[in-house]
Amino acid sequence: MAELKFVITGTAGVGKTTAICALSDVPPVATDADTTDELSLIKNTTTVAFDFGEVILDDGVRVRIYGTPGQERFRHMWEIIAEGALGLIILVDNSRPDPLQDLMMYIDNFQQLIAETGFVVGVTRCDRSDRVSIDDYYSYLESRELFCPVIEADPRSREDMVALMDALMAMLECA
Amino acid sequence: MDSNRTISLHGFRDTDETVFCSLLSLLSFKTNAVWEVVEDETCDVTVVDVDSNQGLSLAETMENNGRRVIRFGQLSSMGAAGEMCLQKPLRAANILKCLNSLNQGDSSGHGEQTAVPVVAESIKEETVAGFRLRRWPCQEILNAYPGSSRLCALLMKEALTIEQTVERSGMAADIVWDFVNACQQRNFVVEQSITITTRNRSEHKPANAGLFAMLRSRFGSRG
Repeated sequence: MAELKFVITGTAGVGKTTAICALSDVPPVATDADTTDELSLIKNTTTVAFDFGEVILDDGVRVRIYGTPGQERFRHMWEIIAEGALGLIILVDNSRPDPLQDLMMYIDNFQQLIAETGFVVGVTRCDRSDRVSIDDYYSYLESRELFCPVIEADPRSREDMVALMDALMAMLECA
Repeated sequence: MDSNRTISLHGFRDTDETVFCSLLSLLSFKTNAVWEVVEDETCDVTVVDVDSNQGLSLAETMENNGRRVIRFGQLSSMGAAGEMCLQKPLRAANILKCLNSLNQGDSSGHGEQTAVPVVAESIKEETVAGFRLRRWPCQEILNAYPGSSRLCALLMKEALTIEQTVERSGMAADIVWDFVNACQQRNFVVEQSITITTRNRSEHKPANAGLFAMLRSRFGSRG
């Protein structure tokens, strides 16, 4: 039986590992390494291969939630992780200089998974910057003829992450 | 086949009149007849606000004169059972039920409800108003309508009529109406013209429905 998995991607430090923690039934398996570049200003370690958590269903079936490494230099892992995934969550840090550019980069790199399944966008740290509004994200997506939920989310909040998963599953059901 | 009917409003507050006209317009694809609001006293049916003595008296007079009247008011001011009534606040489902009952009575001569007629075999294309979500609704709305994430997904992918949304979601028409109304109030939904072909009614079997249902249950999501 093929592995049942969802993928969470987004820039380094956006909260992918935290989001997996919020959803997982087991402590996430992480492949962290110490940060050595400018990322060390915001966190001590970063994911270099992947991390994943598991949701164990009533019938014992395990659904994995993978987090990709955020940095583009590990993009060779993205394709491997995305293979056979059920759907994609893109987390975007709204406090970064150009969050729409970040979103575009992940959409371009995961376009095959997006075309074959579906995706949702979770926007984090909206409290730290309001330069880009949720409506701006929708306008950008519409300009690319993409229609998906864009939801403000705090990766530490299980409720927020469940809302993202719920939206993603609803979109997949209606694909 | 749709027929044209006229309806007039008496004693309505401006806000009630606006809401009624808006709902009537939105419901035009669900009613068995095409209803137009007129001021002409020779209209097919009159809706009278009976929450004032004047309104109540007018409704009784019109009924005694054989005019078709729908009473509109608080539950306490409604008349005997069996009369046509709309309760405050106005709800799409009530208006729809009322108008279709009226039309049913006219065309069949007996009160038993039958389904809205659908031409099953012929191919019929028509341009109608559909609804499309311009953004995912806030949590407040999602929480108010359990199962509404499916409605959101359907209406985010493409503009659909209420009837199509009901058919594809499997949810009750009044819930779909209320959900769309709630989204309209928050400007989450836009109205778009769409062309529908009545023949193309396919079964939409959700992918991975069983798996996702278990996941939602595990997450404690109301979906």
